[in-house]
Amino acid sequence: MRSKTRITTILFLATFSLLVHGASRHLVAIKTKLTLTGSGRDQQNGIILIEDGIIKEVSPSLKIPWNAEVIDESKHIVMPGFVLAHTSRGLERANESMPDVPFLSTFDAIDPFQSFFRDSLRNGITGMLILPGNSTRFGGTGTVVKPTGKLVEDMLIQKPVGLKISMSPAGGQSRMGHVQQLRAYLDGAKKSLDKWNKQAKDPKTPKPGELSPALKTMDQLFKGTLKAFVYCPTASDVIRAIELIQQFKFKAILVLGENTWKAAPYIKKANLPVILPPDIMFFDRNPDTGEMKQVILPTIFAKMRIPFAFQCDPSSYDARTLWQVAAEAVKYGLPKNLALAAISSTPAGMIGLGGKTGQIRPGMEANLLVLTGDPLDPTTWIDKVLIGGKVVYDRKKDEYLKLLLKGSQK
Amino acid sequence: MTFTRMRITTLSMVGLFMVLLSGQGALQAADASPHQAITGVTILMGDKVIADGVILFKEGTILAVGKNVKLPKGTRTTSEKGKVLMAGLVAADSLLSAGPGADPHSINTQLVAVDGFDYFSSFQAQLAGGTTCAYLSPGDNRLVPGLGSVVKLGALPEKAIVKKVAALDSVLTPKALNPPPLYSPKPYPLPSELFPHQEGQLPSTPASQAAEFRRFLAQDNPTNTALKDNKLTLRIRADSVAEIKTALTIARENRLSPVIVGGREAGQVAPEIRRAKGTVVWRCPFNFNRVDTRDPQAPVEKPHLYAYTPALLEKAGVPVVICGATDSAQDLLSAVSFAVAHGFPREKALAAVTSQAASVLGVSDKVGSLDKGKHADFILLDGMPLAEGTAILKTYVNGRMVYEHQGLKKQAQAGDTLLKNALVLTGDGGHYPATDILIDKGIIVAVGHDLKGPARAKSIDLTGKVVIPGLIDLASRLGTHYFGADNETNVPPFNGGSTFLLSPGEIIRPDDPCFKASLEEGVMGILVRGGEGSVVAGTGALLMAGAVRDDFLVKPFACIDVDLSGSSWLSRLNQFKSLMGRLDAYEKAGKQYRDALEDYTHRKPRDTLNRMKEPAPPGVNPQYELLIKARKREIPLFVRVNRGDEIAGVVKFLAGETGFACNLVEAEGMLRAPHVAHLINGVILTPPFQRRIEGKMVDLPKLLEKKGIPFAIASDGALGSLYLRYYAAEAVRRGLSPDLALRALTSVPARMLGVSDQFGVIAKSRQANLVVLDGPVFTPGSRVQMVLLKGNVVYKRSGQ
Repeated sequence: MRSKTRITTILFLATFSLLVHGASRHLVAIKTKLTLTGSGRDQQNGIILIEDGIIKEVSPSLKIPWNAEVIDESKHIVMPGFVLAHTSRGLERANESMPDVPFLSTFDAIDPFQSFFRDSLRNGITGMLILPGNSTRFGGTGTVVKPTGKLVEDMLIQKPVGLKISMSPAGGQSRMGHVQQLRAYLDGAKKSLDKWNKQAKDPKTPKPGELSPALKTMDQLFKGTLKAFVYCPTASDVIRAIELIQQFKFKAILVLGENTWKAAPYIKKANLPVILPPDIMFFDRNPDTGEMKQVILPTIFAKMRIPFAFQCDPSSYDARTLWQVAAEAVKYGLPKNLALAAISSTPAGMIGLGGKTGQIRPGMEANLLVLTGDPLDPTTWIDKVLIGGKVVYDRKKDEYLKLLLKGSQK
Repeated sequence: MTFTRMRITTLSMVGLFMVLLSGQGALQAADASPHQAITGVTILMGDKVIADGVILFKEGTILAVGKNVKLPKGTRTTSEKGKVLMAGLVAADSLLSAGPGADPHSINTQLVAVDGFDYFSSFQAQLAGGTTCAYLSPGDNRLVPGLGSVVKLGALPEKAIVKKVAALDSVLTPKALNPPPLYSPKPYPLPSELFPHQEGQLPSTPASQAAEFRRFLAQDNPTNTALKDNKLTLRIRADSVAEIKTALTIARENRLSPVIVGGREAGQVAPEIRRAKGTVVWRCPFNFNRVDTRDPQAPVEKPHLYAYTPALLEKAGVPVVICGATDSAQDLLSAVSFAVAHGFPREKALAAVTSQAASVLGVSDKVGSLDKGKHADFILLDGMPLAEGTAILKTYVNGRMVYEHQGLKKQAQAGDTLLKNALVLTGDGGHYPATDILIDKGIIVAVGHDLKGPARAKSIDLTGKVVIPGLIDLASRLGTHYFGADNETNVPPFNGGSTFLLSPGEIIRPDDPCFKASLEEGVMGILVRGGEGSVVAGTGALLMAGAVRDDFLVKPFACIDVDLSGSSWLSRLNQFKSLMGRLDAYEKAGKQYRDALEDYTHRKPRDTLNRMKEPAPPGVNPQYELLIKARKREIPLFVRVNRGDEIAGVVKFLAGETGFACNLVEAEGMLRAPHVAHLINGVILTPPFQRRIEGKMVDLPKLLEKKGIPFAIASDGALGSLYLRYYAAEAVRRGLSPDLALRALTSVPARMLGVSDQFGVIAKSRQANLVVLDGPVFTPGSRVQMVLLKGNVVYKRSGQ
């Protein structure tokens, strides 16, 4: 039904554009000093040609069309915008106190005026998935937004994306009880859906009523159109999460806590992508000997070839922004291309923006960052942010940044 | 090619992780043969003992056990000659997976305990005690908390679960009497019923516990069907006779044979349990892993009353499984020893923590014995499991060594003096024959059998000798009168007032020959106390006879003497109360000054007018400072009181209302003041011990022993400290037990002075002030052979 609408729209648009003879084509060409494409080969003195917000060509030897708007960034580095695959910011409250609320959507609660969005944009995030918090069982579905716009409808990229499931006991319950409730809920939902489907297919029985909102969400989960973002604070939770994922056969991404690294071989075996905690390095204390051991999470997961994305936490000192986390990871020995992938293409794939953002190549949306230097150098500024080929952030016009800097100079 | 290399890297990473997790040094996968064997060990297999036996295992499974086992080629063999090997212990109850948090339902048949289990914990404490397998209880605070699981401890996560659903737990103890209000919204809220109201749920009394349990068992559901078809075991947590009887009745009504867990008083209803075909998982009432903080002289109470439960059950023919006192599957061997010490048959003891436990849990096809085909879970010991001092050296789970004893290697530890093979009386009741004491730099570092010090340590053989802590005399005037060779000086006794501030220690002459005389009789800690008469009569100093310079004066202000005895005791008490009032005012002034000073130091920097003046410090009253310390229990109060009414009034005020550490001097009237006994820290007794009180002859030590009040025996003499042991011997002759008499000279006075962390006991980390006697302490013929001060021999009897 929807695809039919889409086709109609495209046909209509095509006809219309033919009528006005290409007058609506908007071309933008960006000259760069260096293009970090994120897809293997970086280009010196590159030119990026954008047509209606979509990258058309990336090449150093490109002839810029006469009617293209030229943005000259030939002293700057251009790279794909960052993507944040998991956050519960931008909401007034992260969790409902009732633990089983899969029918909720963060779309109904996003507050576009929270400073988090302004800060995210300044730090180069062009797309993010906002999910309910971790203190829940079935917390609700997430929304992918861009951090610009005064209405949540303006910010929206797509929804629903991802269902938050948490393995951390909610509401004062024991771990055993929490897991039992998870299993019981999944089991109950599966049975109800089977019954409903059977009734819907059987011509002899009367047609069943519409599915409840909660069952609709669970239906999407079981059908695979919705991925579960499963929060696992401990290594044992990972084992149980994998058990649930395999028993009920749904697609999942693990949102990990610090101590989960011990379960990495099992994550590899289950072939699941992960989102690492904001603080990627910590010291693990051996309870028997008291010895402290440095654990660097990204190198562990990189060596095992488990796809991973970073997340940031504005309240953490070490992991305030995505580039900061990536820079830390490089400091601790992660190859730079993997670190950049973990804040751009990998998270983009996780939240369903795989073919749209995270890389600079033809066909992708022009979500770009213009940088004054190397992206992981702390002295580098993000000069401009482009979303859909439009400049949505310009450092020169960032009044709030001026205020911030003024404060620090005093 | 790249793919292969990647695969290899991944594999080796996985391998590396296994190694990290297991703590083992070698890659197992790299080894040629999967066969492993341990040879030369004494193997305990139920009733059978195989001397010089061999155990062969492969991939976590036992292949063969016996004397002559043919080992396949390439078997990795470890020889453990002289060691003992037995099956890993099975803890039949634990709450290892029940973390924080409580469940909303009082009956829950779907919850599975393994869902709370930490697969990645190393469980070193449990493995060190030999526990390799444990039942995970789903909880002990709900009527039916859920299903229990059986897991391995220290195994790899994928091999941890032995049986996911082993039993249904139920709880009839009072712990399950607080169910939370039920808040159970439907999974899919309806517009009409978004937020259902809270409901109360049963049970909150034992009666409703029984009713609700009956109602639950009468329901027709898969769980109950499984119970009735004997596919699921019913475990009932019950401790008291009433709880066990309820459990048995309800089980009989449903034709179930229950497993009683806890079973504290099960001995009383053993025949009934036998008739109901019940089994008991008995929980040892004594926690071996926690220091018993009860007063050493307090009457022996509850735990031991139920120590005979397993023996009684066994006698009645009820299968008994034993588990430790904690919730964490520890101390199984200690618990078994405890049961054996209280009449449980020794030959059945080990089965109660291995094969019997495994069969109660329904996992005897996998663990609990060393038969062929079972899991290779076993422990290696350096002696027979129930013998004194036997240590667990290694623990294997699924054929992997997951624990190795580190302490034995480290035992050749620091030490400069080693006393060998003496009868050690620790001063707090310990009686250890043929025991060694290792001393390092004046501090005791170990007490035990066959201790090994470094080669340079001086070894003193004390075979046939008795070692006790240095004695402490709490009432002495030693050194205040100087009996020198030429002239005699006499320092007057202090009498309150100005001398209060003077520590007796400052005017005492360490060269007084009386100290040497005391030392030679084993009296080392000497408390020289001020006089009597005034309400606050003086202070006392704790001295160490035989010590020089800094060590001589151990504590200049070790106690404060208060005299509230005599006919005017009420007015004296009032005087003391008004002193407390002045103390409060003094403290308040001090606090006000500190607050004002705080404000002043944090005043605004731009207070140019300097409106704030620096506050003037209040006067310091050293006497009050001491009393404030005493009120914080840093310095004990020694209160002289006599009659029963005096004791009651004074103790109630001092210890009850004001909070002093209140020790009584003499206290003849103890007979009449029983209701304040719990407030008294201790009593100092001086001879004579038999006194005529209210026309009756009263033996004071025996009276205090009967009332459970700790007491110290002191000499109260100017010269006579050296006779301290003889005074106590007199009390022993009149019927005081030698054990209590020794405590009254060592650990009790040390505790009354608040120095028991250093003196008065022979234990690790205490000062090595020891007295060596050639016979029992209170036998008149026994003589002091040697005295050690901080590990140095300061006196040795000559010409023996």
